[in-house]
This record gives sequence, structure tokens and C-alpha cells, in this order.
Amino acid sequence: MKHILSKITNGILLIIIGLLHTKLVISADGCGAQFSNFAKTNFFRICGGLNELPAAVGKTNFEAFAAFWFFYFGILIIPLGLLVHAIEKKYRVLPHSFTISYLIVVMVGAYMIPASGMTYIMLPHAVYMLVSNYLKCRRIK
Amino acid sequence: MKITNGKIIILIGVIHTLLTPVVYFNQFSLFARHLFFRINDGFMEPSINYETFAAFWCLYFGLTLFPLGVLLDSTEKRKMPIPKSFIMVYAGLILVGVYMIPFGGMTVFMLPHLVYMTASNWQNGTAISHNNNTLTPRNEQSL
Repeated sequence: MKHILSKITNGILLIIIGLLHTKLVISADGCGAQFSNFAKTNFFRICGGLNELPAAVGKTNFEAFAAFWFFYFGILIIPLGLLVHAIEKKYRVLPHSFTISYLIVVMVGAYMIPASGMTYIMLPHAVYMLVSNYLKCRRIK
Repeated sequence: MKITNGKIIILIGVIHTLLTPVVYFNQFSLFARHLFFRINDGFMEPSINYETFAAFWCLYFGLTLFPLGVLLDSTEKRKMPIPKSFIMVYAGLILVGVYMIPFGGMTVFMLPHLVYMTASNWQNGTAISHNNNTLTPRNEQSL
């Protein structure tokens, strides 16, 4: 059990967070209805993009934009997790500039939407990653 | 200062983050009234406020590019080749974005950068493997 746990890197945790987020987005509790609509056009050109901006009621399809960006954030976390995992495998530690900037971004999200996954899932992980990485760096030095 | 792929991603993130409040000006004006605190109730909301959600997640995507760029920049500074798994999944992400919103920042900014990153990383990878396979005079002596 300890052997398995030691193999779980922060990168793997980030990939899991990305997958959970993506699953929530496409579920009925998230933006499932919007994704059903997107499926009608095979997910191609779900909105006019830059043509619909600056955002205004009547001009911009807010539903499509909200569903898209909500979804796109989740899948961005997956390559980030892969990169973190590769660096942890090779160097064992992450740069402090990354762990600090990631924590700041998560804190901004938790401040803007407190009752969300940023506060309950991403913030504890960001703090854990920062602290554990700092301790690893000290041990290696 | 050497321009790395990480720095380009940071730049894309900064441009995206600066443009979001401009294109969602009305929504950000509302957020500013509450000092950007609790712009919506998250899990507690009975139904999604799409205007708020679109503005917030658009901003947050740009912000998230910043730590990604910082990490990639540090990787490149250590002369570590960018992992292929990362490039492939990142390429998938960009292509999904381009397909879903063809006339968007993904096509204009991120796709050209992806092509550049893939090409430059392939060249670096080839150079590294070439250096490893080539017998330099020093290597020959040690053999």
C-alpha cells in the first residue's frame, strides 16, 4: 500500500482533478444540456468565437461560451499534470516558482467562487504540493 | 533573454487574461462591485448563471496558462526536452479548441505556437539523440 501511495505524484493528482472536472462539466449537473446541443453539430463551431465578442446580451451565446470555457479549463489541467509528473519523475522536486504561482491562481479562484471545487479540492492539493515540495527541497539540500 | 516555449505560453496567458475583462466588460463591472468576491454561489446555485460562468472560466483559463508557462520555462532552462506525452495531450487540447471554436484565440495564437513548439522540440530531441549517438573524440578515447 505504501509502495503504491509513494508512486502517486502531484502530477497524477492534477490529472485526476482534470478528469473529475471534465466529467462534472459534461454531466447533467454541469453543462450536459449544452453538450447535448453541441453534439447535434458534431461539436463543430459551437459558437461564432471572436465574432460574438465583445460580449453583449443578444449578440453573444453565453451558454455556449460558459460550457466551453468550463470544459476547456478541465482539459488544460491534464497536460499540466503530465508535465508535473514528468518533472517529478526526473528531478523529484518542482520549481518553487510553479508551486507558488499555482497556489496564487487557485486562491484567486477560491476567492471569486468560494463554494466550488477550487476551495474544496484544488486549494488543499495546492497547499499540499507547495509544502511537500518545500520539505523535499530542504531534504535534498 | 532567451525566448522559450514557456515564456510564449505565459505571454498568451497574459494577453488572454488582459483581454477577458475588456470583452466581458459588463460582467466584470458587476464583479468589481463585490470586489470580485463570491461572484456566484458555485455549488449552491440552483441554476448556472451563464454570463458569470462564461466570464469567470474565460479569465481562469488565461490565469492557469501562467503556472503552466512557468513550469515549462523552468523545464527548458534545465535543458530537459519537453515530454512527448505533454506535447501530444497539449496538441489534442488545442486541436479540440480549434475544432469547437474555429474563429478563436486557439486558432490565431495557440495553434501557431503549438506548431513551433513541436518543431523546435523535435529538432532539439534530434540534436540530443544525435549528440548521444555520435562518438566525439573524447568518447572515442574513453572507449
